[in-house]
Amino acid sequence: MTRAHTAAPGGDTRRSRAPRRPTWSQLWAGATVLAIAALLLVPGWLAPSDPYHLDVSQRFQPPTAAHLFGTDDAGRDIFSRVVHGARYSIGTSVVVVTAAALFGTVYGAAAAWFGGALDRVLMRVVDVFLAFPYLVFAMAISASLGRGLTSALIALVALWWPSYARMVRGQVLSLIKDYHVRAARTLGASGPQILRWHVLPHTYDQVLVRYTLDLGQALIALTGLSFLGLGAQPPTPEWGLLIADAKQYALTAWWAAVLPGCVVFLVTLNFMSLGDRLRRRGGPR
Amino acid sequence: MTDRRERTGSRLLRLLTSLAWILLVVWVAVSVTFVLSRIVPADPARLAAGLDAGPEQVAEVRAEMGLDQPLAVQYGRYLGDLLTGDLGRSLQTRQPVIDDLLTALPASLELILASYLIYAVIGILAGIAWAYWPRGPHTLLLRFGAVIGVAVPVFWVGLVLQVVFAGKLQWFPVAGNFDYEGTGVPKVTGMGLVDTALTGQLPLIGEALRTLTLPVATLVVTHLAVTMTLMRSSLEEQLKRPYVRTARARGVKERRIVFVDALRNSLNPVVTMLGLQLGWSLGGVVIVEVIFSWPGFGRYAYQAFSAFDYNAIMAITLLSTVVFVTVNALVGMIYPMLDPRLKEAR
Repeated sequence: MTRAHTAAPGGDTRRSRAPRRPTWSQLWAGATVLAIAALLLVPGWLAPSDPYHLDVSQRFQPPTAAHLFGTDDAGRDIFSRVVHGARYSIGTSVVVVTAAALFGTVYGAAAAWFGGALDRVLMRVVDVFLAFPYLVFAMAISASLGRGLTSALIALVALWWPSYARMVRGQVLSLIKDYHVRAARTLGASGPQILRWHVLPHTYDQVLVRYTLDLGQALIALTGLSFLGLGAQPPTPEWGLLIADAKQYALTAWWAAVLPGCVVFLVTLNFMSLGDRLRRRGGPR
Repeated sequence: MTDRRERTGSRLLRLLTSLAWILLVVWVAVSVTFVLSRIVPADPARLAAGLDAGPEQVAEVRAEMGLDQPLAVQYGRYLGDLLTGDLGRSLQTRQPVIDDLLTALPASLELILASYLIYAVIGILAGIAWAYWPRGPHTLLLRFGAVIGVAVPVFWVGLVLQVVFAGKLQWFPVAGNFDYEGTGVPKVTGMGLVDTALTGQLPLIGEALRTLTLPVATLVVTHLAVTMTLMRSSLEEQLKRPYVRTARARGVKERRIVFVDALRNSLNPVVTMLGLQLGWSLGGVVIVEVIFSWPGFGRYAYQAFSAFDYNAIMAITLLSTVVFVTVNALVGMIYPMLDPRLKEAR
């Protein structure tokens, strides 16, 4: 009975449609999700060679069929490094946004649910966080915790959750006035039950849209920190670090810096368009 | 009149609350960075003493820097120094941090102001054009710019511009800002373009412009999209409102409806975003300055973060927080001018 209202409002009015042929853009979205999953899960199958294998005789090779993205100053195959780096770059971004979304959701929901003085205090904290220039603070936190991918991760989570908290709080505030919540309360559902089954599920749509859009932004922020030497450390093939290393010889071996950057761009772009697609599917309520 | 007095009273109150808010945020920021700088695994005293210092020397330096005191004492001393305007000395340059910052800031200001003017103006104009002419071949270009602007990392844009226009085509210098040496240009503001403009010599102005082009272009490409898309969607939304339909039905000229009525109503979110972007600008120039070896605040920050120069780091976060909060407070004061309803509501 407590599950009675988990369906999205209007979900029951949606007509069941006959299976349709997917559109090209749907196919593209599916393909990119699969490609990213493959990069994260089985990079070894996709990379032609060992990302750490040094071969000085092969240094600064321009892109060819053997070395799709060319080689770097130590003769390492850049394409293989990019493939193996996905785990660090995309993987960490996913962790960052997931942690921020989870924490922010719980925090915002708690603030809205308990209300009163606690809500005011909790939201003031959020306001303070949002009043920090986050780029500089990300750098400061990451530098202070000791340069490394974990420090960059912590720094980004610490600065990313407040926007989720604010968003979810607003939604929960309006949802708890809804009839279905009042009905559940009348029927004797407990506070946590109501939150879990009747309020939070309705916030997931918006959180998911934000989550997908943020994945791209987190990737840019994370690679930026690594580019400044505040994230991953050598010889990790993390993308930002890869590009930072290649910066020194960018004028002679452009591929080493430019091609991995293209990958960052493409991945971000796909996360953004995925988020956009979700938002449009959700539509204005 | 009592009414007016009440209004000035509430205005003063508002000013005071926003000032108190600024102070609170700055204090929290200072405290957070203070804590961060003391939990660091690297030992600042060891860094300052040098690699080949013995344990006694390190202890001596530590006492000299006051780092052997309890944290509360250090914190109190730091806040006290801050109030007198003393930001401490940099470990790297051995200069007072405030002097370092003052020499670095003009160069960054030049980058920030030049790029900000360009992307704010172009962003607003392009957004308006996009909303006014929603169909046509130009939308392809605008869409492309919008996509690039949000999804592309700053460092990649900078590197590509550098490789193409400085490396291959050699139209612009690879790195560095305007070089004063041997030109006889007096360093008045520290901003190359302004100083050369003061001399009025065209070739020098051209040189200053050449050094500015690539870093400014990088900032413009990566900041333009947000303003542009926001302007477009905000104006489009206004144009769907009933008052626009009414005005059209009454035969008000389309130009007047769009550029006077709807435009004014659609500016609020754009102003917010432009305020945020100006507030973030000190952090935003870091990567660009690193790529183009631009000797400003961003590169100083980068060096401070890399070497864990803790006094410099604390000054950097302090300064950028003050800028960010102040800009946001100023934007908050602009709102009522754009939207009279807010003035009445308060």
